Amino acid sequence: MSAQEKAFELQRQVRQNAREYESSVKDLYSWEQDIKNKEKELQKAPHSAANKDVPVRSHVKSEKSRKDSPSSSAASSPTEKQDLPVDPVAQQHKKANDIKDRGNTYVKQAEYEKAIITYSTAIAVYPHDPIYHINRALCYLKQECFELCVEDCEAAIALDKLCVKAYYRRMQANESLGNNMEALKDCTTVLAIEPKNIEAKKSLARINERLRKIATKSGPNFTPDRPGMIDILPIDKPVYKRSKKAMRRVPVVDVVSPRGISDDSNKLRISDEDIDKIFNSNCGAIEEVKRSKPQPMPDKPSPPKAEAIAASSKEAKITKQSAVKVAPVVVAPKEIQKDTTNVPESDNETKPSSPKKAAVEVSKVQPAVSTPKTTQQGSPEVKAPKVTTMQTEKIEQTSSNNAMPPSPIERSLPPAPTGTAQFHVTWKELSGPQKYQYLKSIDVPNLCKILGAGFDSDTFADLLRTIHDYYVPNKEPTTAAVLLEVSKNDEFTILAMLMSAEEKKMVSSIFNAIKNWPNKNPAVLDNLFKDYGVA
Amino acid sequence: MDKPQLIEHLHEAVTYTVYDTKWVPLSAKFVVLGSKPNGHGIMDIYELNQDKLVKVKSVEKKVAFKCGTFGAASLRNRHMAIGDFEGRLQVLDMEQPDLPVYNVKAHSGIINTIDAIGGTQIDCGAPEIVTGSRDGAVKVWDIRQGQAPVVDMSPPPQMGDGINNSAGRRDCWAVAFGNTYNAEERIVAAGYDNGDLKIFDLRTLSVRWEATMKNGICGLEFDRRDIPMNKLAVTTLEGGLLVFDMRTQHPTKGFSYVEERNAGRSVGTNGVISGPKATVWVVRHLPQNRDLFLTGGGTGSIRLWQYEYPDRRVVDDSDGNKLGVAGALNMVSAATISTQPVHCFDWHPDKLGLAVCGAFDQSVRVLITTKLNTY
Repeated sequence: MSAQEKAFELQRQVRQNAREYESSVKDLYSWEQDIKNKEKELQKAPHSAANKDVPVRSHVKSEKSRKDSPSSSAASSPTEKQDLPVDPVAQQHKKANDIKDRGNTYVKQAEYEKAIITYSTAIAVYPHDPIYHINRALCYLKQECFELCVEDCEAAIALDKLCVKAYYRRMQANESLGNNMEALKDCTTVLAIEPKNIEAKKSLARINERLRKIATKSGPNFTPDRPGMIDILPIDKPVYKRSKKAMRRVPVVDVVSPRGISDDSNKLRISDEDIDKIFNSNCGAIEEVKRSKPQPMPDKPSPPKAEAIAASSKEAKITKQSAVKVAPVVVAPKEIQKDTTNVPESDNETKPSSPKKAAVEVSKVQPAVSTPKTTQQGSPEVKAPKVTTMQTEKIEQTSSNNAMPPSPIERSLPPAPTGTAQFHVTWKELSGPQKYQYLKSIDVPNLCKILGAGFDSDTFADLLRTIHDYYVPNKEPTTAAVLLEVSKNDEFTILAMLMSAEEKKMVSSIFNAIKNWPNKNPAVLDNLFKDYGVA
Repeated sequence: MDKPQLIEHLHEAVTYTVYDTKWVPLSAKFVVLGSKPNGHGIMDIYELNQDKLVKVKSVEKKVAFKCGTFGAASLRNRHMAIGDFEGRLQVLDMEQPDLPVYNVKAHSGIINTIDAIGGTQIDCGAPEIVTGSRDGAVKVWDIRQGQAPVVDMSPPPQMGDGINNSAGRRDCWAVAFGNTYNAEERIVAAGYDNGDLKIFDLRTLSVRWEATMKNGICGLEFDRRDIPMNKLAVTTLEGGLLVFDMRTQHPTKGFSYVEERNAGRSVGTNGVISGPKATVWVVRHLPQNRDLFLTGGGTGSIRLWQYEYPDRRVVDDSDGNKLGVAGALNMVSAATISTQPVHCFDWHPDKLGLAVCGAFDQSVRVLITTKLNTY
């Protein structure tokens, strides 16, 4: 190894050691907190009965003849003997855990029969731990006793509502049983608990795929192909590209008629809560929009020219849709269809017929953002839609929606934030002018604290923009103070360094403006210039 | 480098000679026992508070403290048994340390060493304290039984004139409990200044085994106290470290052992062992892993060792008797943390890798050992 490599290796090692130490110290600090809390609890707890029942040695008659050999398992194996927990319940638990461990070995050897028996014993010993149920559920799953598996999962869920594995296994069992809707529910629950669970995401896609296939064949939500349908597929947008505005539920008119063979759609409907749950785990807050009354429908059965949502704005984004199959099918007029640039091809293999006809398949799966760029400005040619069902759909819009009589509700200005989290949550949801009002409502001396550690470059850019767009034109006297307060934030130094050219331009234009105002404090300004890197 | 590192996390200089440091069970506090220059005993309680140590309590008594232990105290009670320079054994309640819970003139000379058991373990017999003293006696105490020891293992009274009277009495430097795997069994190991090692069986009240090391025994510890005895680590003057396999006792050869003669010498940064053969003052097994233990040496260095079991722990010799086979010792890590001997060391029972140690440079150190979980 050359000297250089050696030096490099040494450096790497030193760095690694330092990291190691750092993490141990962090670990230690959290442990300190834990143990201090425990200690406090212990002090409050009543005196435990010491094992005073053991006689004092000198009071016992020695029996030299007796010779009992060490018989515990610790004698033969080099594994350690662990202190038994004093609490009898804990002892039961420990015993059950031991039994469970045995069961786990059986599972590893694929001896599910034995494992099931073992887990059942564990449950009998200590019935309060969901893990035994989950493990037994796995065995049942492997043995294809799906009903039993579902039962066990339910038992586990009863013990622990957030038991991801239980939901996941119930989903698997339900899938195998063909209860696709049940499986879907479980899958969404898993995702609600663990949004990053890749397995669950895959399963969700799979279940949805299956549901769709079934549905297109004969499912309760079967909609016969009709001309002029567009299949709108979800588009997955990375988080940073998504709009930060709150999502709103917008009533969507379903123009599908007549319904398929069955009318047990109620059974398949996914509740709003479920939908919210899914989306809450993926994006920002949801704002409920008041449902407008279903519009009275003309009695003529659906002409293909109908439109559910037409946005006057250039980009009405259909952000998240959920509701497998239940989801509204929107029949768009042909004009739209032609102009639609962003509509992906129909993925419905069952009807590869005419390219002009595509079912607008508003569906589920990922938090998808599809942006059909409707070129219809003002959409004069829209006919009154025929409404058969009211659907909720989340639509995010930049401006008003002319399919909906009520214009979008401007959020009322929230009260001044009291804490960092409140600020950041609220901030992202505000429009430009609101941000201005909001910022003004915060006491300037508190600003630094409120920005706190969550202060990121997006917020920073927003702040600058707000100052630039509103403070400066209004000659707000607190502008300099706000800037100064912002610069006191711990994160500021790094953020200032990472300012984009645009932001820098904004800053310098702000400063140019401030310079010309009366009653400025040159010292403060100098400081500001230095802090913001504007010479 | 995937070896554990021994890192000094906190350092507290004190104004007295430190003799013992012990963690208070189930807390982030430790106790420092020592002797002030005026000969008074001092007990300080420190609490870890992120990057500093906070002194919670300080108690001063007339006589210098030598050693202490929480072994016989329940988690809730926190009674520390302390031996002092005048042979007095007292049990102090950490909450009200002014008035001892138990107080007895245990020995005629300084109590060098103390060990206790039965406080937290269940089914492990009575809580008992064992003390070893300069007067050569090893005594076992049960605080429920007034002023007399429950077992007294004193050397026989010496014959002869007054001058040579004490010469025959060996100085007991180290004691340790072990083999307490049920309510009756219990063993005390005692090490003496002349290198004698005695294993007393408390159940049968007899000497189970005796041996003599080359040098005086400074430190003793069973790897676990509450199991059938498995290993016994012994440290001596002049850098000896011996680990006995205590599972098998041969009728004539006794227990077999592995020996490391260089354990007290300092290890340089490049791993070169140098310097004089310094005393190994202390040996402490990791509470979370009984095959790892640490020794504190006279050169101010500490070393982490791993005991490797042999393939077969027992063989039959030519007479058909069972003979134990000792394993091997690997040094896992070493660090020099002081210029003076590190003579007391205590692993935290609840937190892997956290330890406190005292050295004769009048300071107390909190150490973090990383990557212990990989063993």
